[in-house]
Amino acid sequence: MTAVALKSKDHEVESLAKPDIRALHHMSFRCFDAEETRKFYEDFLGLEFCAALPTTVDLAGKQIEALQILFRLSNGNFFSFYDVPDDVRPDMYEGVGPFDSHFAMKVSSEAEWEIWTARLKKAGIEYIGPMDHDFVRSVYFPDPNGVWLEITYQVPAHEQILAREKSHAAEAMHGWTISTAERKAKFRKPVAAG
Amino acid sequence: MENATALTKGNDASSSSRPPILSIHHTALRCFDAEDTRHFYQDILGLELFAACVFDHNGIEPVDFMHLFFRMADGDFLAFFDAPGDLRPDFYKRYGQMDFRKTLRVSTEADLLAVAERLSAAGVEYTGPEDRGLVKSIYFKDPDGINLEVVAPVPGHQDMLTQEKKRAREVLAGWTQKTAARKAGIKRAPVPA
Repeated sequence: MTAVALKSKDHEVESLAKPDIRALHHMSFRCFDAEETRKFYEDFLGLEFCAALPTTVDLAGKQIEALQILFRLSNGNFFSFYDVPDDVRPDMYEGVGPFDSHFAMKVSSEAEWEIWTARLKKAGIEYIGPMDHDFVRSVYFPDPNGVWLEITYQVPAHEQILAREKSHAAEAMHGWTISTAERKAKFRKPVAAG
Repeated sequence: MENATALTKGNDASSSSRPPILSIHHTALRCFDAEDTRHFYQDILGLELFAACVFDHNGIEPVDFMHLFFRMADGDFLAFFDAPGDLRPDFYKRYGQMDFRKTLRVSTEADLLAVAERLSAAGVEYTGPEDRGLVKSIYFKDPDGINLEVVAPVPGHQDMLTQEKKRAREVLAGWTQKTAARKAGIKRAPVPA
């Protein structure tokens, strides 16, 4: 699955139907303890605790004992967590910072976002920020499993700012690819001929 | 169950002033190369590239990076960082499907099959479609090894969730009791400051 191999098939992919990917259905993580995770996502963040699904086989068909718990956001996305008590991995996300991965939860306004930053403070949860990202403003904090979350709101000019960015995204990408190619070359595996 | 809900909520004294979290505005994940990522998410999965912004500071420290945003049809984003001064090409390869997985939604099973067809044509290996109860799923990986799933909710999805919700608290309570001994004494990683 190298970039070169994919590109030779571009025309074939391009000719196919392109269904809409509508939304993130869920992000799924490991948790240390389902009840501890529920307290954070339901009691503190206020998400709807909507399922606790015992699981006896993993995706590879291996016998396991696990519980998957699901929390729903207002617009229908979920956060999902697996609790696997015979393979407890409290270090699963150790060393993963917000600049490696984070998950941004949207609230509707600056006023609501300010209520959330106050709630984080009151709960004794240290956060990074606020950061002004032009089209959104954000604070970042870890959940009990070390998963980095963000609470954000879209500024009123969100769509105008994005339209401006979109107009020069392809050009920016092109320049970036050229300017960083050399630094990446040594990590790339040689592609087999043919 | 109603009582249990009321008690739990009652523990959070300020729940009345807790504004609703609407959606996941974006996921942001490290990638190895912005163009490889663009090719995969735009040319194969068909998402629109909405922003490719170059920065020299991440708000915490100076660092050169590109931040990419792909938009999904309902308006939220899949975002990535490409940081060529700190390349970590194997970052996500340690994670299995139950450890770290990004699941995307299409509207119908026909759409799910159409995504599978695009993956096949591009030479991306996938497994499925599998019947996962609430959804039908296909599984594959992006160029960074990030576990991806695309799902189509099955008819009756909402009714099934309603049923699950009714028993969720009881199932969780039983689970907590049953697994407590196996977790006792396991040292936790410190929560990052």
